[in-house]
Amino acid sequence: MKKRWLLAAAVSSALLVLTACGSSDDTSESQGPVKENACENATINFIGLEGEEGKVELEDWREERGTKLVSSWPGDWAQLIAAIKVGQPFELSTIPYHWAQRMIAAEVVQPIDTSRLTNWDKVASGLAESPSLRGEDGEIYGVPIAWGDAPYIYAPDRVSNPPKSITDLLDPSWKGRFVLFDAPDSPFYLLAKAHGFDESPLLTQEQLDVVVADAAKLVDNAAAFQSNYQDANDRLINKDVDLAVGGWEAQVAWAEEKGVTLDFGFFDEGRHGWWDGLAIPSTSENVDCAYEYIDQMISTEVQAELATNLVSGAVNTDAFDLVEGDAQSYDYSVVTGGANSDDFASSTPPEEVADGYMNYQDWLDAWQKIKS
Amino acid sequence: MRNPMATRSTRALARAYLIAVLAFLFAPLVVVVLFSFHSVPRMSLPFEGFSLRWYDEVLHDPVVIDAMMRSATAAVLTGLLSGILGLSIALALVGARQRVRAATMVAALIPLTFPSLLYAIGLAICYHYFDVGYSLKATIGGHVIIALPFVFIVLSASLDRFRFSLLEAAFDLGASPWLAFRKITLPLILPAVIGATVLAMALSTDEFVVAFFTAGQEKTLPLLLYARINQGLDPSLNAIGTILLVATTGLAWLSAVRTAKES
Amino acid sequence: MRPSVRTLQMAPATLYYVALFLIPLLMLAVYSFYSVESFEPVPKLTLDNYVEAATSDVFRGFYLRTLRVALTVALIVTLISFPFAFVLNYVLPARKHVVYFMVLVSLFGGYIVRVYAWRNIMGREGVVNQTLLGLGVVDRPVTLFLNSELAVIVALVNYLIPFGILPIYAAMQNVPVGQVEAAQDLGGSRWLAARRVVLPLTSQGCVAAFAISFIATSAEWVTPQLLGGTGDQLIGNQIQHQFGGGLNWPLGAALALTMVVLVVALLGLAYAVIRRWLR
Repeated sequence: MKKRWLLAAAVSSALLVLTACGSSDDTSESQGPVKENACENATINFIGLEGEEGKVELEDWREERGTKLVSSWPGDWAQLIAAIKVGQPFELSTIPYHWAQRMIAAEVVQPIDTSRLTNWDKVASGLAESPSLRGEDGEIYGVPIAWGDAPYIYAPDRVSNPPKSITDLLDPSWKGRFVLFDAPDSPFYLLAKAHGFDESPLLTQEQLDVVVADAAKLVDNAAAFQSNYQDANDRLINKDVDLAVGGWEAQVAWAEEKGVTLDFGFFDEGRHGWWDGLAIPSTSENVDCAYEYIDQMISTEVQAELATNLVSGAVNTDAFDLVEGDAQSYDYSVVTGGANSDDFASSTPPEEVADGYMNYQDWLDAWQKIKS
Repeated sequence: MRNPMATRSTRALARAYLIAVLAFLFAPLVVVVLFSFHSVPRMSLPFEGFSLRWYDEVLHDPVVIDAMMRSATAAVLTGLLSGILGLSIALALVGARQRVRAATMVAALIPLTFPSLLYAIGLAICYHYFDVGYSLKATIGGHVIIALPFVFIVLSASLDRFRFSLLEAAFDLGASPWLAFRKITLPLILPAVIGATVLAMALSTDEFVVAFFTAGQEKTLPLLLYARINQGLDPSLNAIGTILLVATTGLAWLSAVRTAKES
Repeated sequence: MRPSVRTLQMAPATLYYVALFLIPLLMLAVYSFYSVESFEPVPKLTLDNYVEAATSDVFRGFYLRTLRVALTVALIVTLISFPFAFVLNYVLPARKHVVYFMVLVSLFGGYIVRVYAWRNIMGREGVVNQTLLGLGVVDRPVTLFLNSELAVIVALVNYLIPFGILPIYAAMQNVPVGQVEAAQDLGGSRWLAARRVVLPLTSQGCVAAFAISFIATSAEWVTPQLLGGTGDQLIGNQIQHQFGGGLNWPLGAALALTMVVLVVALLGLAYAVIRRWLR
């Protein structure tokens, strides 16, 4: 009996040592020469938001090449990162702006050589030059395919006076009537602006303390956290809440399909931009095909169709005039360095900040504290 | 069979209690089934009329069919595997010394004390490390671990009250261990075995976290449901749930009939 | 000859446990002592994760709330399940197979879809509110049900009752009806029979029911997220967050293992109390 235990202990400790050694050499191999038509008869495993992988828009393109697209959405971003981290192979993934820095830091995505994308030059400058696409090494890790400006969504039949400021929601009359994302990003950013902290999202410790005090009231007043846009819409449609702080214009169209009228608005504190992009996961087994596919996704025709279908902003400047339907309502000056380009601000501080400022981890820690 | 120990009024009270608990248990299921027939893509009252459109949609969706087949495979294999493993270990404990029994019991129940999230990630790291890859088979491997403690609880509770005297009498009469098992042990514990297996199948059918981290591209039904819920709720999800319910009800009914016959 | 048969019987399950349970968990346990450098777990062993799990105010709040909710859920589940199994076995045995079967069936149907169904029941326009309005009990919809700890507890109790009934029912199968009747013939009331005969003989089933519910709740994160309010998240949400958004697997592992220790300690205590009470 004793011997067997010793054996088991020996085996398991050997395994542990192996794990410890093995876990660090996971980085991707250097790439060989670029392969032409890499998507021919290939399978693209995509992890991310269905609808943002060109399922409809690139159907013919894939058919011509015999390319198979397998999409999966793990449920949330945390799970997406975990799925890549434990080694599941994916050729493509969604990279959303508010998770981009984390995904880059976690090394679940690889740098993108934009010279391999023939359509990269057409990407609106406000997006292409955004630091949020880039890692600390200055490399680009995500190619935006859609963007928006984060309105709030509300039910006009139950909200006769849409809020002007985010601070309106601190009022007891809003108790239990709205949802927000379980993240400090938008609330901290907007509350800081409301206090006149113009450098937001760069905040000092004292400023953050002021913001956190308000945010605690905001969270307490909120009915619940929304898991995603759809979840917020379901709650609005069921009349369980009257307003969702983190929104997307497309929600109005989704609700309309279900016979419910919703509307969107912006707080006076300003808008803050978001973009969703495509990235190449570190576990990609066909990088060349991923490049080809991403290049297609930002082409003029596909962008016009995609923006129309998603009710989001197009990223390809040539596509702006080709967008149809509700998606025409976007103000493109926001992403082309025009009058409202300040509005396309990032709502979160970087992971690394200058002395005296609070970084994103500090924001997250403060947020956890509010919830406990 | 009338039970002499119950008076009329206690029986009425008892019946009311059972009905109340069952009503509570089935409340969410009734809602799931009801809205699966809703004619509009909305899952809230008022109810606007019946339609089979969501069933039509779901049953013509090859992705859903694939996921259903995978979930069924996982359930059956998990049930069989954990049933066999659980039974063999429960049998090993028959007549074992108290210390051995207690130690085994504790060891067998340890997995229950671990959040499935934790286990799922450990398992995924393990599969990755040993290059096993992610597949339905990998998920089933984890589902058996999730199901085993439950199987073991049900089986050992049954064996705990096992009348060893019968078994000893059989041995005294010269019966082989196999014969004794077949003629005495098995008939006595069969209801528990079937119950345990069905429980394991239920756990596998509904299991989400382990499947998420280990199934790779071979998505089971819960994975598909969760992914689709996050892309917009419509009654087709309820239709999937209802189909699952009907299929598993048939299964449970079969096993219940067997159990009733044996006892 | 018998010991070797026993070893043979134990071997497959034991091997299975070692390969697919012990080794994965050992790997994770090692992770809980790792450090994190730029979001990557690195094999620099440290106790910091446990220190943080044990001392941080943030986590203490989540632990306490989780233990309170888990205790509530486990108690309610056990208190509903025992009488249910008892009635089924000894008071109304005629229909017991049908009812047992119904309990089994209620286990199926998709956990996540069921969680969502509670929104349709407890929401502002939900079934409960429509009924209350229809009966004139309230004159405007009650919004307290959804997005609250109550909603989380109700949904979890609902989900876990079958897991509570099964082990108790299974344990009762082995209490001879004769013994219960004998206790009655000797002049005991039904409850005395239940207390003196059935309860001690099925205590393992009750403990199993309690433990299963307690543990399941202690790691729960989907239900609080979908049905709870902003102040109702549990430690499971934190653990899940560390494995995902927090990108701190070692801390997540340490948080989870700390929770496991807490749960085991509490269950051990509860078991000791129950044992003493039944004696």
